[in-house]
Amino acid sequence: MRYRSFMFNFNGVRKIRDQMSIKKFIVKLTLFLVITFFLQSLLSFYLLRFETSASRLNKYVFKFDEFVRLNNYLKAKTDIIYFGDSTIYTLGEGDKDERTTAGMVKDMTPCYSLGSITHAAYHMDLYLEFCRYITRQKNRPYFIIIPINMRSFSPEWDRRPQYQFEIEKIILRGGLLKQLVLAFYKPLCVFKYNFSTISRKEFLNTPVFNGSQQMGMVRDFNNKSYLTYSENNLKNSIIYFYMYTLNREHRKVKSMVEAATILTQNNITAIFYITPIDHETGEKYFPGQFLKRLRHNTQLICSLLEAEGVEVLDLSIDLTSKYFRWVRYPNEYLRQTGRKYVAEKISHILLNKEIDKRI
Amino acid sequence: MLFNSVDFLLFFPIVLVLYFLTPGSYRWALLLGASYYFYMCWEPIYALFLITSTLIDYYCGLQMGKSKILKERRYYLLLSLFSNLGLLFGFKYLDFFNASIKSLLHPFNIFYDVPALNIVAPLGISYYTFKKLSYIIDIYRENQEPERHVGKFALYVSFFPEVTAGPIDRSKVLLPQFNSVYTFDYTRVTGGLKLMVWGMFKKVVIADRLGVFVNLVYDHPHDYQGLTLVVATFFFSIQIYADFSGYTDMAIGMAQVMGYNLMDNFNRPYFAISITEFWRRWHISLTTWLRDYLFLPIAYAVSRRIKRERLMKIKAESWAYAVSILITMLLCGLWHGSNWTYIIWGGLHGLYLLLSFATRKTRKKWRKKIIGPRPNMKPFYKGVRILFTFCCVSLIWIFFRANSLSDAFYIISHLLSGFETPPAIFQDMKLEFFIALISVGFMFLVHLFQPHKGIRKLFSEKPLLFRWILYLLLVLSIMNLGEFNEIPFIYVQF
Repeated sequence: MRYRSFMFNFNGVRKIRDQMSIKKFIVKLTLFLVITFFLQSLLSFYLLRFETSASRLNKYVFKFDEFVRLNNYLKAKTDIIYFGDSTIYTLGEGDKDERTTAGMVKDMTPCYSLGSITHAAYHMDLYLEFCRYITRQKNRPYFIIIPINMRSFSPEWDRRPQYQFEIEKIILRGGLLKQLVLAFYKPLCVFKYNFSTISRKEFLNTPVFNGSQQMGMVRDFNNKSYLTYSENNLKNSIIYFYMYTLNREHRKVKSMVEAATILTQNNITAIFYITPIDHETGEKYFPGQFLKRLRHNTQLICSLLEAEGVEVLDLSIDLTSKYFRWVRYPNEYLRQTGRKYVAEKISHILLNKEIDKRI
Repeated sequence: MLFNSVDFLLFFPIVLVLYFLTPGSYRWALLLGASYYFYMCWEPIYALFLITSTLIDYYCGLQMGKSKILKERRYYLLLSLFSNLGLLFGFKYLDFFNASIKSLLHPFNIFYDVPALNIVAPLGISYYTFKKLSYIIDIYRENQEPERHVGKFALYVSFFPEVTAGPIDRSKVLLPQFNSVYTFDYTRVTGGLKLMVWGMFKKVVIADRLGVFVNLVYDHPHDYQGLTLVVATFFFSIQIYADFSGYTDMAIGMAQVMGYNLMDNFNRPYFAISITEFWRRWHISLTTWLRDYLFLPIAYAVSRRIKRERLMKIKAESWAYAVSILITMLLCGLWHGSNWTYIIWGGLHGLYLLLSFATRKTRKKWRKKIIGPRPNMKPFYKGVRILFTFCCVSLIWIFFRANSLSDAFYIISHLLSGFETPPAIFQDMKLEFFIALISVGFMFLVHLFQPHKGIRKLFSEKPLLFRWILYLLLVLSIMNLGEFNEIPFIYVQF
C-alpha cells in the first residue's frame, strides 16, 4: 500500500513536471515564432529587392522590379503605360535595331512620356489587375496600351501554372494579404509552396481543341517535342497554340472586357491591339482552317472591345512569315521590321490622339 | 512530401501533437499511419509493395524464430532474400542489366533486345530493403529474436523520418524503442528541433545553393573547363555532404523529438585524414551494414578457401581484404544507382582503400623518418592530410555526379586546363556565390569546434542570448537565403 502510494505520488510529480515543461516549451516556442515573424516582416522589404539565383534562372519567379517601375512611372506622371509580354522585347537574330516595340513607340512619339511594363508571359488577367491598380492611384496615365497575344488564350498559356502570376495579382490588389505575402514570399518559395491556383496535374489534364474537336490533353502536346523540328510537331504546336475557338466566356476574354470597361470609366484611353502572328505558316499546315479560325477569334475580340467603346487595332494577319523570328514553331516574336511596323501603327493612333491631350 | 516543404511543415507538428496526446500503447499505430501517409504522398500504389514485402519478412522472421532446423531456417532466409533482392533488382536494376548485356553482346552481333520497362523505383527501396535484410540475417544468425508485433515491425520498416533516405537503423536498436513510452522531455524535444533546424540550414541554404552552380556546370560540362570545373567539383563535394547530412540531421532530430534515437550517419567526414577514416565517418549506417553483412562474410569465405598462409607471396589475410573490399565497394557503388558512373565510383574507392592497405607500413615508416614520432599530433601535417584526403574524395565524386561516363572523363581531362579564364557563371552570380561561401565557411567552422561533442551540446553550452540570436539567424537565413528551385535530396533518389 505504501509502495503504491509512493508510485502514485511519483507518477503525479512526473505528470506535473511534464505539464510544466510543455507549458515552458509552448511559451518559448510562441515567443520565438513571434520574434521570427516580426524580424521576417522587417527583413522582407529589404531582401525582396535582391534577386536570387532562382529569379535569375527562372524568369517566371516573381520580381519586385515591375512594381517599383510602375510606381515610378505613376509618380513621374507618365503619359503612356505600355504593357506587354516577351514579344515586345524579344529581338530577332541579326537585328541591328535593338529597340523594343515600346522603345520604338517612345521614339516615334516624342511629345509623350512612355513607360513599359513587360514581362515574359504577362497576360490579360494581369493587365486587368494592373488597370485596377492604376485607377486607384492619384496620378494616372493618359493612355494604356495593351497587346492581345492570340496565343495567350490557348491552354498552353492560359492554364500553365507558372503563368498564373498569383503573387503579382495579390500585390496589385493590396491590403493585408499583400503585406503578408510580401513578408513571407521568400520563405514560402523556399518551402516549395505552390502559389498557382492551377496544379500541374490539372494543367496536364486540360483538353486541347481544334475548333470543336478535342485533339487530346495538354499532356499529349506539352512534352517539349515541339521544340525539335518535324512536320508533325509543327502541326501539333499550331493546334496547341492557335486552333482553339474563342468564346466570350473565356476567362481572359472576360478580363479583357473588364479592363476596357474600367479604363473607359476612369477616362483613360485604352489602346488594344492584336499582335501579328505568323499566319502564313499556320495556313500552310491548315489550309483554309487556320485563317478561318483566326478571323473568328479576332472578330469576337474586336466586337467585344468596340462594344465597350475602345479602340482596337487588329494586326493579326498584317505581316508575312519573313517578319517573324523563327524558333522551330510558329510564334509572335518579331524581327526589327515587324516591330517597326507595329510601332508605327500604334504611334499613328497616339499622334492623332495628341490633340485630345492638348485639349 | 519533402522535409523542406510546406506540406511537411504542417504534417510534422500535427503528428507531433497527436503523438503526445495518444496513450503510449497506441502510439505505434499513429506513427504507422503517419508513416504510410507520408510514403503514399509520393506515389500511393508503391505502398502496396512496401506492405507486401514487410509482411513476407515478418512471416519469414517468425518462422525462422520458431524453427530450430537449419534447413528450414535457410529456406525462410532464401525466401526473404529472394523477395527483397528480387523487388530491388526488378525496380532498380533490370533495365540497366538488360542495357548492359545488350551493349556487351553488340560487338559479337548477338541480338538481345529486351524493351526497357522504364519503371520509377519506389521511394526509399534501397533503404528499407537493407533494413529488412539486416533484420532477417540477424534472426538467421540468432543474433536477434523475431518481432512478434506486426504493426511495430511494419513501423520499423516504414518509420517516416528514415523511410526515404535512412539512416539504415538496425532492428536490434530501433525495434525495442517502439515498446517504450516517451513522455514530453523539454531538453530532448528542443534538442531535436534544433538539430532539425541545423539540418534544414545545411540542406536549404548550403546544399541547394551550391546545387545551382553544380547543376549548371555538370549538366553541360563541355561548355566549361579548368577552374570552373574544379570549383564545381569541390562544390559538389560540399553539396552532397550538406544535402545528405542535412537530411540525416532532420531525420534524427524529428525522431528525437518523439523520443527515438536513430543512429548517426556522419562524423565530420571531410576532417578525415585518410580514405579509410573517411569511410568510417561517411554514411556510417550503410558502411557498417556493408561491413557486417558483406565485407566480413566475404573476407571470411575467402580466407577459408586459401589454405596456405601465403598465396603468390601475398598473405592470405591480405587476399581476403583485397577481394572483399573490392567486391564490397563495387556493390556499394551499385547500391547508389543503376549506372556505370556509380559502379566506377565505388570501384575507385575500393582501389583507394586497397592502395592505402598495401602501402600502410611503408607510409608509416617514411612518416616517422621525415616528420618524426606521432606525426598526426602536428597540426600542419594533419591539415595537409585532411586536405589531401578531401581532394582525393572530391576527384572521384566526379564519377558520382556526372551524367555519363563520357562527361566524367571530359571533366577529369579538363580539370587542369583553362585556368586563365575566369569562371563566367560565378561572375554572373556574385551575390549567390558570396552567400554560398559564407554558409559553407560557417558550417565548417561549426564542425571545427565540435570535435568531441555534438552540435546540440555545442550550442546548449552558450549563454541564452547568444543561442537565441544564433537560432534566429539560422531560421531567418533558411527562410530568406534558401533556394527556390526544387532540388530533391540527392540520397532520396537512391
